[in-house]
Amino acid sequence: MALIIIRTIIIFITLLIIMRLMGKRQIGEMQPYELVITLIIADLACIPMDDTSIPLTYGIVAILTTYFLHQVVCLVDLSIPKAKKILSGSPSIVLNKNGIDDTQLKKNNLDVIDLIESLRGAGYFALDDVDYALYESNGSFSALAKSEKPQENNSLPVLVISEGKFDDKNVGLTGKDRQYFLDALRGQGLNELKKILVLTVDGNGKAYVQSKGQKYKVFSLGWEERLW
Amino acid sequence: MKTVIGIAISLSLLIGVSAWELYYVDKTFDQLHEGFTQMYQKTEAGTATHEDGNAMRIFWEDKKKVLHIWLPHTIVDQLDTHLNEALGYLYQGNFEDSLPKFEVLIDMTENIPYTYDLTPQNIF
Repeated sequence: MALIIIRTIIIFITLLIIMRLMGKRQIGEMQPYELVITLIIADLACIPMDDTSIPLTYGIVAILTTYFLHQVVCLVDLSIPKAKKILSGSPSIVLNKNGIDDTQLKKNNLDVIDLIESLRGAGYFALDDVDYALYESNGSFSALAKSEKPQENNSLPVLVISEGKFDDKNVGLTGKDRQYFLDALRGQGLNELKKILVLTVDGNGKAYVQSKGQKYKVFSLGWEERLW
Repeated sequence: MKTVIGIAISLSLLIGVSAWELYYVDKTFDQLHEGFTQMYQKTEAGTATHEDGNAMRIFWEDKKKVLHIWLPHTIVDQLDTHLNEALGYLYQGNFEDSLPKFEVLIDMTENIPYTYDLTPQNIF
């Protein structure tokens, strides 16, 4: 039994470290240690049930060890703030008043596309609709809308450039070509494609652009009519 | 408070169960080892009787029920099979074929407890 207890503790710690290293992408609505426990318990309960050559005691002891670890982690989590940060992580502000914080995104193994998806999930379709957006330590997404929200946006912004690369499908949707957007960016003093973190364009010709490490800009492409 | 009580109870149970398992399994395997060694010596000397075999079987059957709680059933089944073969030969008076079977049993009772020791090779 002592072997099983030690093995369970080792697997628990290993899974917890891996979950923390994987970032918030892998977690959904649970703290990392809660997810680890869910993963372990499911298997521990099934193996002795399924394989009659393994005594049920093995499963019960391993489950009891997991419960013990859960209680210890809960206690540490509640009593020591520094330990809480290590065990559960801290919220990551991925979008602020200057635009997207790509360092925070990368730290959590996320990219601009993931952020835009999360924003849409939270009910915001344009990057400049919010002042702040953050991933909580349990992986859930929160956004704070701009106090002066831009006028109702009836056109869905599409992602044209992400991390220095064109999304050719979306370029096609706009009815323009790569050169058109390169020229538009040049007009804004942005000459290097690889330095562009994000460029989104809506059907009214409103563009949102941000270079890596710079504040975002919103400018008009000067379209006379709405294209979508 | 509830968390602390939970930790205390679960830790006590884990320590208690582990200590009891270590004690019981070690003690049982020591007894089995002693029993199989005696049977081996008697068989080697040609003095092992049907009654000795029956006594060994009764002892084993008694221990087997509890060992199934603590050890993988396959290990208990292997011991069971080897003992049945050893006693089968013994009942027929075939001491020559019975001896290697008792030797295997002695070896198993020596080695099985080591597989439950807290050593790095067993943990990993």
